[in-house]
Amino acid sequence: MSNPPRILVAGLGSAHGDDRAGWLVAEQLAAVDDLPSDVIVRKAAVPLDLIDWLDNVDTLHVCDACRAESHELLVRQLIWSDGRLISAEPNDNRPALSLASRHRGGSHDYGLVEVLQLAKATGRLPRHVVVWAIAGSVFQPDDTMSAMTNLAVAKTTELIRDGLQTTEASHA
Amino acid sequence: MSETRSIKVEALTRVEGEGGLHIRLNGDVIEDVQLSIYEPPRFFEGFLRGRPLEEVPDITARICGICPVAYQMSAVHALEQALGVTITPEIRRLRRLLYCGEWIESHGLHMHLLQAPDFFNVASGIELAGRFPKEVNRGLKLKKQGNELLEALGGRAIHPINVAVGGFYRAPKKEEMQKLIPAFEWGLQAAIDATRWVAGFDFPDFQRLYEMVSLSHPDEYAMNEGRIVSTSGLSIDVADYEATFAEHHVAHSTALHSLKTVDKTSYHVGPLARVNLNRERLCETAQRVADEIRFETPCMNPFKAIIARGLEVIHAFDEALSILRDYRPFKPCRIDYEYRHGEGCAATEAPRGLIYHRYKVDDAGKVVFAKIVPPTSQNQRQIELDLIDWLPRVLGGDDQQTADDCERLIRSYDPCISCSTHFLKLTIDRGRSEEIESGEIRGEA
Repeated sequence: MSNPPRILVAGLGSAHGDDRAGWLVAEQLAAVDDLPSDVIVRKAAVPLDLIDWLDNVDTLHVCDACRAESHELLVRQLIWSDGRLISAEPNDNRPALSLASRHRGGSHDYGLVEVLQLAKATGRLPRHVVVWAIAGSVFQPDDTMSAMTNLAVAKTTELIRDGLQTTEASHA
Repeated sequence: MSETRSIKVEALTRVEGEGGLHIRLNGDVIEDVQLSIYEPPRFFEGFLRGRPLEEVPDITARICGICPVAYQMSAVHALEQALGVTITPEIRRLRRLLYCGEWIESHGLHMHLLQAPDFFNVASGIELAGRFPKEVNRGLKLKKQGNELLEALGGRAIHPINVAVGGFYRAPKKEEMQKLIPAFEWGLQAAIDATRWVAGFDFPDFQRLYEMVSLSHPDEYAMNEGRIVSTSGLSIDVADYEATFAEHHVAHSTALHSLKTVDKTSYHVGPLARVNLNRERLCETAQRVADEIRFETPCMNPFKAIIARGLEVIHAFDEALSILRDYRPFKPCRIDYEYRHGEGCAATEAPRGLIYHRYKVDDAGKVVFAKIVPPTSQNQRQIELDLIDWLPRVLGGDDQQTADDCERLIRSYDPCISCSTHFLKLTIDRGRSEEIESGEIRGEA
């Protein structure tokens, strides 16, 4: 008998400035007491790590910092559809955001989109993929996280937590 | 009149780090080939100076996210020699187990996502996965097994934190090791299947006359210790490494080039060298597969390094299984030592080849000197010479095709440019030009 499908929340990032946003969301969610039991929360330094964790995952949430000219958006929800990331909001004409996971610099490293494409090509892509693009502006070593990104992290944690708890309630 | 043309690959793809390739031709005459490493110097050897020696394994691990264990193993063995520490057989076995994990994850990734696409004329592992989803999935799972072993034993998959001078900070629990066994039993068979798959690729008929260099140990497939041997009969103690091989600066590279001191010639390190020099010490399963696929040694075709990697993954799974099955927690997991003034060196086998470290420490336990020679800097000149020989075969097409064909050859070495960029030659202009020799100031890694 196979295990029931799971929900994976992965925080992508590094220790540098606003790029820490994904990790912080993961840490805050992991500390939530009443998270549904089928939810797994992990932190990743590079997107390719995700590939190792997709077995039996039905829904994948990825939290990652993105470069934004302003913090007006705080957080933007994207979904994977037809081989690309699109806004979860219909008729969203806002400019695309650049996901900013800090790579180690080599093409050994696949970006998030490439990792999702690889997962698709190998039949491992979860049915639902949601990317939470968290607005940030400072990504250099030794930068501290900006106040606005801190707010964005709190907002993202709240949105994901509420969504997970709503999903569980509807399954109960 | 001959036409001079240049072919430039501004950024090599599917290699670790940042480098390019410049080829200058005069008609069909190759005037120059430069593997141009422009990634900035990393200064790790400089960072280590003045640091407590206990920090060295964790700092050097940061040189590479793909092969941190190679840096940790080389560092702890060199430092233990400096301190006069002798580790126990249990620690020694656990270190080999950790190295098995790194070989599995690094080779698994390179075989399936980085080099295999070159044999099917596709641009990436993603495209390859579209054609060979089962095989690429298998490669990804092999890599995952390696990562899980590193995580269980090293504390985390990238930049492990459990390696200490004298042993390990913590010996894993028996159940932590045993739960890996079913996946590793699958991994051994998957590695055999993967090796059979890559052995069936259509390899260019390209033979070189290399001097191949690796560690060799009389009782085991060399990972952490042994003598340095070569296909031309060299056999030296690791302590003689710097008398036998020396790094040189070339203007087009932030990574030093290593050459033999006696005749300034290049040499080749890596899995192909290891298998050529140690085939009879591969595990029985790997030897049987090598025979079955008719892998003839010595093999001097660099493209066939992918087969050597496969054989080493088989060996790594086989040996890891043996250690996992027999594992019992042990004490002490770390040997005590007292600080003393001393010097030590060590060489181990990183996935990409021989890696050499030397340290001097003072009686307060601080590092006063560090020297690190990674495998890619040792292979750089050899890669350039290979390209000079390879180019006449691939010049017939357009420049883009020629560039692509050259990249294929470079990738067969699995170069880790980030590891190798450690050159710093400091020039101080005080009215007179003054160069400080490497070894005096080496902000390098």
